[in-house]
Amino acid sequence: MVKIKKNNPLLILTVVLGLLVFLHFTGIIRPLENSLFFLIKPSSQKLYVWGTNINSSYGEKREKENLLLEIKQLQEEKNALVIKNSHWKEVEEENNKLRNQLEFVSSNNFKIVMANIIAKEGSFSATENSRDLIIDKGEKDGLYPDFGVLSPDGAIIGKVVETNYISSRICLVTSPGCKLAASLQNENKTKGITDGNLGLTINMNYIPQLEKVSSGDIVITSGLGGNIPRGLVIGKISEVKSESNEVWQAAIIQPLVNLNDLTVISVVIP
Amino acid sequence: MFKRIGQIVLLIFVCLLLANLQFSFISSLPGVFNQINLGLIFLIFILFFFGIKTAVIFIFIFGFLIDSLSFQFFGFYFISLAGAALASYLILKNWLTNKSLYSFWALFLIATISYNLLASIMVFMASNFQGVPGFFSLVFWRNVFYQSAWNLLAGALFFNFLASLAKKFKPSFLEKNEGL
Repeated sequence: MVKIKKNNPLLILTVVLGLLVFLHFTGIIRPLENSLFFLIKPSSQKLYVWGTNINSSYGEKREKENLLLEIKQLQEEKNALVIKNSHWKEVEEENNKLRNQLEFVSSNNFKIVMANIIAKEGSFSATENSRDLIIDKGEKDGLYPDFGVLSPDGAIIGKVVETNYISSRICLVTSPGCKLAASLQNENKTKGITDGNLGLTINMNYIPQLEKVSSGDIVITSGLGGNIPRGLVIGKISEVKSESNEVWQAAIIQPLVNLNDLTVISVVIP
Repeated sequence: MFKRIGQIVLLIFVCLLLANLQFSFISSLPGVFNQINLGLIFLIFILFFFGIKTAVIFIFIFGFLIDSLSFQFFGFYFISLAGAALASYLILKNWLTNKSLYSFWALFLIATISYNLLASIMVFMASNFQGVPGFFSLVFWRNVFYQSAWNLLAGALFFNFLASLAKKFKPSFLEKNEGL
């Protein structure tokens, strides 16, 4: 017969783990877990910002070589945008006048909750090569899964995937499995679904073969997802993949914001 | 008695600091730097120099802290750390005959591999066995490689630093008197 020692560390580990899991799922230790979170929250925010600053300066060093080329392209783009902007200003003025006349209630009237990113969490699965963000706002602030998440510039950077009372987990648009209902800002308002690609770019799939899609088109949320409003910018198309024998075509989207530099985000509450 | 309580309070403080650093700072670092696993490094250090009992207390505190903060299912880090500690302890108890830098490195390698294997199996089980476990992907083994490299580096630094500090930490032959 196998004799088990009273002070067997393995036995103690198993018993304590079982007890902790029981106490966690029954909610008995929730006050302890919440106070722990509030205890480390201030230092977590600072530590995360330090880490992000190191991340940014590391990235900047590598990107300097590409910057000169990018500046040239941006100057050309800027000239084109100045012309477009003057046109849009006139359109906006006209739009405002018409809205006032119709007493139109703005569709962009959604509530926003600001949150600090306090950590990143990786995955151990074979299919996902991404790191989700953890923010310091949760169900107590009105956050629930599938709510859209914006960068300080107003571009959509992901969505809430999981919440608890005090914090939430956010998947980035570049993470595999992070899907958004999207639409192109072209004549036909082409619709599709975006999905992250290796944590670097975004794929837009299920675009009908007959739709005309070209590089440089802006991709926005279509509003078909339910909880995410229409018109939030996802990114710009950098490449179109179209095979004549396929039913669908696909596009690669480049996000407009650097997702590694984020420290503060806002969650859209529909 | 008071000495023991003092040690546990100190361990709680160290765990709180480590958990905070691991959770917020290390995770936000670029590239290979975010593969540093402070919990595992300290676990092996404690197991090697202070024994299984102190290592078990470390797992209780550090595992609970990280599990409370993380969005993995509760117990994920606790089980991963316990698995790594058990594998390392069995190697230390049955195979290793001395406390040298090479033994320390061997324990780090065993702990890193067992920790990551266990974590990927648990994630696979938690996803209702969808797809394949993480250890079939190249990314997994690349991360294990980086983690091992960091752990071996930390091991060398720790070992030489401590050996220069006190006689207790100098290389020595093991006495087989502690068992499960």
